[in-house]
Parts: sequence; structure tokens; C-alpha cells
Amino acid sequence: MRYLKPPKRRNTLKVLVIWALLMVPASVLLYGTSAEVRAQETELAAVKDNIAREKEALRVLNAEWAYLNDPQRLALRAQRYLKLAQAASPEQVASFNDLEVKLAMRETDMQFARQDDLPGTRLLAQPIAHHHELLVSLHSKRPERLPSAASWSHKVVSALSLGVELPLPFRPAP
Amino acid sequence: MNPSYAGQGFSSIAAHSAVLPVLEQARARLLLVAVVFMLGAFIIVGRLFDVMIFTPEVDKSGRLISPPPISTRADITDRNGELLATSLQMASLSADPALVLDVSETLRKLKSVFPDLVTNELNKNLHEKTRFVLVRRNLTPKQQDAVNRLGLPGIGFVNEERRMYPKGRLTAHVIGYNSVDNRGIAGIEHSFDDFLRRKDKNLVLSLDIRLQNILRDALWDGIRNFNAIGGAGLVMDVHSGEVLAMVSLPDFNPYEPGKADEKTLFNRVTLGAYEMGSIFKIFTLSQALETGAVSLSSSFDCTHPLKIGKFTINDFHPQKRWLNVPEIFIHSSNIGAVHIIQKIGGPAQKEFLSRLGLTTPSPIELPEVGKPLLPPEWKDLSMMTISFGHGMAVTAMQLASAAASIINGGHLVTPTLLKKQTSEVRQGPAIISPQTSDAMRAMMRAVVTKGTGKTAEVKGYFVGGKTGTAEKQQGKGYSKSALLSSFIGIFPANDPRYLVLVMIDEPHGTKESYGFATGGWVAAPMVKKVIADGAPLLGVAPAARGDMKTIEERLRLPVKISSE
Repeated sequence: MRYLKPPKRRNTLKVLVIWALLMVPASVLLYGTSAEVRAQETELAAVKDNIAREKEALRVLNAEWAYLNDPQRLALRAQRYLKLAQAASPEQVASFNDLEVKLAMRETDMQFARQDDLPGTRLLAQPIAHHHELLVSLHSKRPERLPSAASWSHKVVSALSLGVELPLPFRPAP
Repeated sequence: MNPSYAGQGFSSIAAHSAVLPVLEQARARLLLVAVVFMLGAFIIVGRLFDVMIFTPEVDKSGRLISPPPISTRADITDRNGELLATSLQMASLSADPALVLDVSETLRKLKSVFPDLVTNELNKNLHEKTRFVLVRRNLTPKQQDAVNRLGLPGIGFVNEERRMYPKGRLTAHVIGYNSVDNRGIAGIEHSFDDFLRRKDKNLVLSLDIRLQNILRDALWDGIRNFNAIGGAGLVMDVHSGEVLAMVSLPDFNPYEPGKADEKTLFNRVTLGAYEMGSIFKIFTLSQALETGAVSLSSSFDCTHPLKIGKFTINDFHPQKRWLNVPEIFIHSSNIGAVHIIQKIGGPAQKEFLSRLGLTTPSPIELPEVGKPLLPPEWKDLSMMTISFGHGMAVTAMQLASAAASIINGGHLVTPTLLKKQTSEVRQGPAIISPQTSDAMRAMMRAVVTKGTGKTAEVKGYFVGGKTGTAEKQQGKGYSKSALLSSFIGIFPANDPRYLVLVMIDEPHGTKESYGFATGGWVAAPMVKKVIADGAPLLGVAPAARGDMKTIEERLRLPVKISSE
């Protein structure tokens, strides 16, 4: 029995060697794949973190934007920087159809205006329509694109996060 | 193999047969060691498989820093998406006394960043045997950066969620506020607490922040001009019941509700029940016309004050003559209203007011909803006083939705603070006929063209309305000087879309108002302001000049009205 072993062992050895040789590339491959997966997972997590951070920064910017869009504040700015600071009076508003008719009858319209002394009637041309549009857009719309959030949020929070009432001197406290 | 070698080997082994057991033993040991190593190797390989493929135990992300905090409460916006409440992550400054090396040095340095830091108590706390001291809440990023630069040991930050109200006081009574642990305890924050915590989507209110601002401005001016103690106002879509603006003054800072007193936190629109005065004549007259108790041309003797038992019912603007129904309305004759209600009777009156929702709390989505105050027994005297708005108190929200139900064509309006899509608007049950509704619109228009509400007119918008001046109850009687002056305005009267209600609490007459503090002098000009500024924003175009005459013609009442 003992003497049959050596050749058998040599066979086993061969098989082992072959397996070992096969395992080397396999494990290299496995390790490589695993390392790559891990690297990608790290990257994914970093991206996810960034997204979360950007989202939070967007929330801050949205809050800031809402704060800056305070109607009182806008009214104050409009008074200071726009020549036509008053809200459009009803006499200044006209529909497109109206406008067509009005432009056509402009001459008679002006006479008419003098007769019933309607303020603003004579001004019904373009500037006022423009002004009305401007007012509406000032009051209601946000820009379509905001600057990259994270770089701005830092600066921008300062006004917001005072933790006390926002400094609006024009909103009287009773 | 080489036989000779084998033979040699054999012979040599045979020759040293004494060594054989030793060799056997060595082989056995070798085998044992090999097996142990193999087992070890297998375990390692198995574990490698396990770690790399089956259950990677290490943090998958491999991140070195903690994940950024996410806010946990949904936003609230107005109908145009303008942000009214949002949650932000804010850093708070904390200290671990065990790690702080030099307390006085630390405090000195912190004071360079926060000049207003109160150090006495902190000094004490930092010497205590605790591991956590909160130094300051809600740092700005700038401050956080500055603290980081100080490089103080034992000083750190904790993130805390904080509710922000970018419009501050402007929406204070509607939005309400949260407790420190971010649970809603007042206003919308309270009534929609569960919805907001689910954080699925934003809560979109029916409010229009631009209109809210216009209304608040107008109210504020009125309160200041007439030296009043408070005011309330609301703008409502008369078809959908959406509240577009709702203001109660004085208002409070939503960041510090604790600092406001009870009167300031009190919502005068939904919580305060008031005797509304002559505005109630809208209901008295619409019921009388609807039931056929009177027609527009019926007239009543309003020459003398009415004596009922020990009470005398008088007119504020006495005409001292016979008045037809529209005249009673536009001159706001209490005597006339009493004559009319006597043709209807108490039970029918109570039933009609109930159908308008005036006897039950308003269904508005706020926790601060006041119960109406009704007479314990609906006696004849109650019936008479209620016909002109005394002896029964309702909230402004109830009043507005009831009035909207009368003038929108006669369908019951359910007030709401949530934005409704046009497709979601359901017409409520009919309260009065469209014809009666038309007549009421025409009469309300006449109030503005010929009656007590002239100061509310805005050219092109055909404002209609009704003034109300109620004497406030003080002790057992009514006070002549403490008034509640109000005006309810609708526009355009020919096809009303919006209703504006303004109420001023205890206004005082001024030189400009010739000493008057009545609804027509105080509240009507404020409604005018709201309509003039707000209508363009609401997309209501003023009537083209060519159409004005036809519309006015359509609103003309079929009876002669003497404005004298």
C-alpha cells in the first residue's frame, strides 16, 4: 500500500498545481472586480451625499428667494428704482382687443378722454402695457435658472438665519 | 522512475529498517500540519468570499463623513408656488466641558464671534460635570465658519432643523407656528401636521401672497388712520370658496409666538365672533325676496323709531319717511329691516341663517375656529335685532362665506384655505334663486353708487357692497363709542368673482372723516384700495369703457331710489 502512494500523490500534486494556477487569475479577477465595485460604491455614495447637500442648499436658496420676493420689499425697490412706481390703475389696463380698437380710434379717443377726464386714457399706448407686464412679473415670477446652489448657499443664508424676525424695516410691528 | 534508484532506496530503507517508524511518524505529522493549514486556508478563502461577495460588512459607501441631514417637514406655498414655510438645517453650537481646556479663554474667543454672548451662565455650565452644553442655537454659516477658525477644543456643532417663514408676519395667523420639536401647534401648521410630516409633497394654500400684502397694507393704514385697536380682513373667491387673503391685525412674529400676548395671537378672522351689524341685512333681505314676503317695490314706514318693550330701534342714517326695499338696504335702515323680518318670522329666519352656515362653526381648515354666539332663545326681540345684525355674533369667515353664497348665484360656499383646481370646484346646494341673487347684487351695487358705501367705488370694476357699523357690547349694554366698522365688497357686481371683507375694531373718527367712524367712512375706502390694487393681480380686467353703460344699465334696480 505504502508504495502505491507516491505516484498517486504526484497526480494530486499536478491537479493541485493546475488548480492553483487557475486560481491565481481567478482571484486577481475577483479582487479587481471587487475593488472596482467598492470604488464605484464609494463614488456613488459621494454623489448621493452631494445631491443631498445640493438639495439642502437649494432649500436654503429657495427660502432666500422667497425672502427676497417679499412683496413689501419689492414695492420699496420699485418705488426707488422704477420711474413708474405706482400700481397700474384700472384705467391703464386694456385687453389686446381693446388696444386694437383704441389705437384705431386714437384721435377720437383723445377727444373723448378730454371730455370725461379719465386719467391715463391718453397714455394708453405701449409704455403702460409694458409697465403693467413688468409689475406682474415682478410680483409673481421666479427666474428659470438659479446659480449653482452650493457655492451660493453659504453667502446667502446670512440674511435668513438670524433666528429672529427678518429685518424688514418697512413692515411695521403693531 | 529509475528502477535502480528504487532498488537502492529499498535496500537503503531495508538497511535502516530501524528508521522506518520515525519516518512514518514524520509523515503523519506532516499530514496533520498540512490539514491544519489547508483548513486555515479554506476558512480564509471562505471568509474572503463572504466578505467580498455575500455580505460586505464594511460600510458600503466607504464614506468618512456622516451623511448630510435631510429636512423632515414639507414646505407650504401660496397658490403661485411662493414659499411661505420651509424647513432648513441649521447648526447649533455646543460644547463638551470634559474636552474644553481653558474655559475663560474659550469664552473670550467665542465672544469675539458672538459679541452678545451671555457668559456668566455658560461659565458655570462649562465647569459642570456634563458632556454636553448648548451654547447657541441657529448659527449662520458665516458664524459657523468663524467658530471653526478659532480651533477651540471641545467646541462642536449639532445640526437642528428649523422652520423658516420667509414672509414673517404677513402670513403669521394663517400658517401658525411649530413647537421647538417641530410639531405644528397653531394655524395650518397644526391642522395639517400629519400631512406636512409625511413630506410627500408641498402643501399648496389658496392664498395669494401679493393680495395678502395688499390687504395687510390697507388694513394697517386704516388702523393707524383711525387709531383702532385691531382689524381683520379677507378676500374670497365667491365660487370656489378659496380664501385668497386673510389678515388679522395686530399680528405677531412667527419666530417668537411666545413673546406675543393673547390678543395678538388671536385670529380675528376665524376665531373672533362679533356682532356684525347692518351687513346682516343682506341675509334678511335676500330671504324676504326669496320667500316672496316682500318685493323690490314694497315699502315700509320708517318715519319713527320702533319701540319694542323697553327697547327703541333707531336708524343710524335716519330718513324719516317711507322707504322701499332697496332704499332700506342702501340707507341701512334698522327700522325697515325689522318691518321686513316681521313678515318672515323667527323660526324661518333661524332656519335660513342655519342653511347659510351662520349658526355652526366655520368649516375652514384652521384649529382656531370660533363658535357663533346665538341667543339662548330665538324670541321676537332676538329676531328683530338679528335682522340688522345685533344679538347674534358670527366670525368674519362665516359672514364672508354666507355673503358669497348669496351673491354668487345662490349656491352655498364652503370656505377653504387650500388651492382648488377648477375641476375640483363643486357647486354647493342652492340657497336662493339666481333671480334673488341678481337683485341682491344690484342692491349692493346701489349701496356703492347711491348709499352708504360710495367711498368703495373703483372705476371699471362695478364694486358692490354693504356697510356695517356695530356697537360693541360693553358690560350689559352697547357702547356708542366702541364700534366695529366693517364693509363687505364684491366685484364686479354684474358677475361677482371676489368678495372683500374688512373689519376695523374700535376706530375713532378723524378730521378727514368728519368725526365719523362708521363702516362707510372707515372700512369702505380700505376695500376700495384692496380692489384697485388687487384686481389686476387677480386677472379681473376692468370693463372696457364702451361696455360700462350697458353693465350699469343691467345693474339698475326696477324701482326709483331716492338717495336723499
